[in-house]
Amino acid sequence: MVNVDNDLLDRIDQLEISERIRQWKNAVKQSKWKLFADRERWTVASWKETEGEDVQIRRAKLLRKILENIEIKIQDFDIIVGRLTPEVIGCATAFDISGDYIPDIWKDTAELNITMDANVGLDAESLEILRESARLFKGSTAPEMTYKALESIVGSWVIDAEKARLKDPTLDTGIFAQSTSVLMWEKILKQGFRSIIDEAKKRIDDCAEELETDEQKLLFWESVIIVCEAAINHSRRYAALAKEMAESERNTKRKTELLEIARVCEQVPENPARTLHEALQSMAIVGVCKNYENPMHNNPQWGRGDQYLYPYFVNDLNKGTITLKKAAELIMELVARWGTQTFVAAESLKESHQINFAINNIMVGGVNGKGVDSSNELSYLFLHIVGLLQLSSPTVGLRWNRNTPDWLMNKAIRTNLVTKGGIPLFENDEVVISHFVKDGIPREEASEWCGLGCVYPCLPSRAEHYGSEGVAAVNMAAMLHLVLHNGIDVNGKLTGVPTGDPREFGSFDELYSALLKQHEYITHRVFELAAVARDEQPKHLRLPFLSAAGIEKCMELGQDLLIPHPDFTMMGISDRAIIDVADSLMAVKKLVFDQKRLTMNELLNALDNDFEGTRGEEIRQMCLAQPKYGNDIDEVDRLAGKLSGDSYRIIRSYDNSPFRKFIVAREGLAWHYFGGLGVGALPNGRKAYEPLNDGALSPFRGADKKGPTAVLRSAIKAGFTESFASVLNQKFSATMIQSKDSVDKLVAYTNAFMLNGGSHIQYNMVDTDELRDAKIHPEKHQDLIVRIGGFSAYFTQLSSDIQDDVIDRNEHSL
Amino acid sequence: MDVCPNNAIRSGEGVYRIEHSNCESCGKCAERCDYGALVRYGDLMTVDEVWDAVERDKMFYETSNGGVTVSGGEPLLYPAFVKELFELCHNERIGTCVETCGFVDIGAFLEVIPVTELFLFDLKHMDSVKHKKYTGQFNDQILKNASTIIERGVDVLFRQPLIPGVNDTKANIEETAAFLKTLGKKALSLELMPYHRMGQDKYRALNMEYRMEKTHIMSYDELEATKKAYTDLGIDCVISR
Repeated sequence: MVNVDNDLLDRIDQLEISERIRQWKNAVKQSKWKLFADRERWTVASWKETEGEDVQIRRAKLLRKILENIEIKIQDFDIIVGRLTPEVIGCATAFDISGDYIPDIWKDTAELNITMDANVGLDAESLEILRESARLFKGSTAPEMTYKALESIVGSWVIDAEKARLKDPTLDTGIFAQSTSVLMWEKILKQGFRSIIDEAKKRIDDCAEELETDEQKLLFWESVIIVCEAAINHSRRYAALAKEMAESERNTKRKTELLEIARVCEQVPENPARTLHEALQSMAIVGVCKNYENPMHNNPQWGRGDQYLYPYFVNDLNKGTITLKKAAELIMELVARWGTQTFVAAESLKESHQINFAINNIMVGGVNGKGVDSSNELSYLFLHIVGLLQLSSPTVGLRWNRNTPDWLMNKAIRTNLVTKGGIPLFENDEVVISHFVKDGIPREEASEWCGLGCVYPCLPSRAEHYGSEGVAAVNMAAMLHLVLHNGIDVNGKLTGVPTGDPREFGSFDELYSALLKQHEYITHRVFELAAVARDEQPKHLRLPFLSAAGIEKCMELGQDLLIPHPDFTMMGISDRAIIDVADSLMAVKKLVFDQKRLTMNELLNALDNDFEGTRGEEIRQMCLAQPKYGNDIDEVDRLAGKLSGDSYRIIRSYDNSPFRKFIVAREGLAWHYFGGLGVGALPNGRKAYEPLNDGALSPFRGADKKGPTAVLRSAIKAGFTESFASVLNQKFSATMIQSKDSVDKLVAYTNAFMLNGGSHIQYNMVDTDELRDAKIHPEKHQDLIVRIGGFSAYFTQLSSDIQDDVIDRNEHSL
Repeated sequence: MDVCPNNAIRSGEGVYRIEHSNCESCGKCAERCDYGALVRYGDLMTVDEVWDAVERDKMFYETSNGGVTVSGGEPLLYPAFVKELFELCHNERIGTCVETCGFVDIGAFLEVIPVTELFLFDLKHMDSVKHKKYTGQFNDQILKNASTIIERGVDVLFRQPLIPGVNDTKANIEETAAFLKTLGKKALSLELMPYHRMGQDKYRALNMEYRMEKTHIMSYDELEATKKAYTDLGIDCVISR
């Protein structure tokens, strides 16, 4: 464990938002959502110029064209420069990557809906630029060509399965291999891009010497040289702009700052970073280049920022070349920028993710390659910074292990309080590392894992294909729907396999085997089609910048990361809605097979009528009253565990050679709303199309009635040990955790769960609006726990005036 | 109706009622009520059954240094039960705590002291007559028990349910502080438990009359003022929230 400087921690606690960041915040508040068409202008120009050239070179030149020409700006409050769009809030489109992902551009309106609730205004000229690009690329981009290839093999099955929410429609979302993951920050900062260019040149020379003429490899390294030079030059454009602005700047302080910006931008990312400022500036430029290459969906990710930035942070502080306040401000500037980078979501992503800000992740704490916990003062500072900024992005994860120091856990819970929950979330270092090691990854490499966006653990050293080939979530609740309807999905199509009329099932075991049969049919089919996607996509798209800056092996092998290689490719899947299925199966077992209080026919009729009609509500109440996961009831908890194990076995039984087998990680986000749209009424009492359970191990809404410790006991019993991570959301009211004593209790609660094998947990601090809603709709909030008068109580069981009192206190507690 | 072995559920005027005089609290009706309109609270349990529940939470005690509190009713009316349970806890290094009103035979205290780490001890009112008026009993035995167990060297956290107009008077605050001082240095702290109306619904559910509807709920400032009154008298005072 690092010998921590307690005095420094105290000083970090005192830090507040600086004037400069406040100015940025105001600018963000005043900005409207804006879409900038500039990138498309240059993609179109470049693509026309390079017609007939190899796809690798074409893609490299396309990025170079953007970096050379796109409008850049330095805002008055910027010290770190490099932004995707000239204004503080803006997004760019990518028709070159997904040809027709914004159908709205063909509509006759100035308003464009870029995510669920964000409209952007667009002038006529910009709209025409977008349409021009869409006309050029439409029909020939990687996702579109992949869909065509799939259609020629299985007809409309993929579209049908996606409409029935059996699988995620991730193909058109722009999640291409590793584009969601972490760049080689340590290498980039230590060596600079010049060394990567030199490396590529040397590899080309070596080939010539050995008379090796693998054209694809040579073209790959050529493409690397083009994009790395372009990145360096992009930074120089900022240097030139800063100098120019300095000349006419009257304020001497700002003038000095601008000259310093110019100096730093000439140094990095070409050369190694020597200071924290240079390191962060290098990251900003490299990050923005990554986004220009593929601006869909994901930001550059911090990964283990508290590790690779620590030497710069400590050196500068010790040398006295930077104050803590200044260091914090610089880091905050980049955290804030990446946290507020917006994106234009593909249609399907709007529903499944419901977010406006590009996902990026900061991971703090965790062990190093030798197994020693390496939490440090910078881990603490990152937590403090996200607490001050209070943004919904980045996602912050804390890598919990049994040596995670109390001071970090305490800060983490206090940060949860300030950010109203979810930040940071806790993931079990020991569980994740041991899974990777069991799968043959060297321990040293495994210990560098971080969250891919939110919870899904990935290795920065490898290209993660999760989502990029159409394999992301499969929906076990929708599979159960298939079982209950003999293979017919919620839209009336036979997307499943006929497993027989459930009315004829003689035993619970028959029902259970039918589910596994559907599972195998759906999952293996999804895997087979992923292999098609894998072959198809690189014909149309390459990501040379991401390959060069992201994956060491790509450089060695001379291979773009979009062409999977067993040495650097990881694949994974999230099998969702296990708890919905466990509760549902348990209800069928009890009511139909054990107690025989209902016939299968009666139950199915009630489900098909969505619990309406003569006996509908009565049957629903019977279903709701059956044992539910989350209450420390062995029978149902173990059924959830069995489902987890069987699902894992089905996934791992797929022969994925020459690639690694698919890993299982059960993350969540807002998917439960999306997934629910493919599932009719379920025997757990849930009505048709309602959301499924959130997360992976969270109990059915309002079904956990024995308190938070019972939830953890159920979760531990269900185990889900096959999964790298299984999301468990726990909800508390903010008033519950006000005192220092309560913070300690939540630390102890977290430690207990993790020590006993829990893989993930996160806390939501309930806001006042939710309390108000709980008063009106108690049935939706039965699990809501509040603290009052020294006791914890279920909010919905309190009388109206006490509820008002709690609402009042919650309002004022933070 | 037909699940009740004692025919205690009667129908009339479109509603069903439980006749509590015939009800043996077997809970069969609640088990059958899928709608959750009938809920049975409380179970008769053996020491082993309680221990099973305690053991399930062991992982939390281990990380929090927490433990088991027996509470009431009045747990010291069943000292043998408490002792047996706490011996099991003691062997597994799980913390043990008794919450008591103090109005029990001193023998009950002595029986559980060897296996009890902490007593939460109520000091409801220092004026014995008022104590009798509000609780039904004088406080002599309670105060005597407090002195006795303090002399035995056990850890005690004294607590005062703070009822506006009843025991938040200047006189009672001073007398409470004075009493704590007679017990010596170890007893110089007090936890105030502000009055709340959480019990109101329970009374309603049991068809009992709730007679404190008009009792004032103290504001944050009022509570802080009471706390300060104690602190000024040399008592380390915290407010339970």
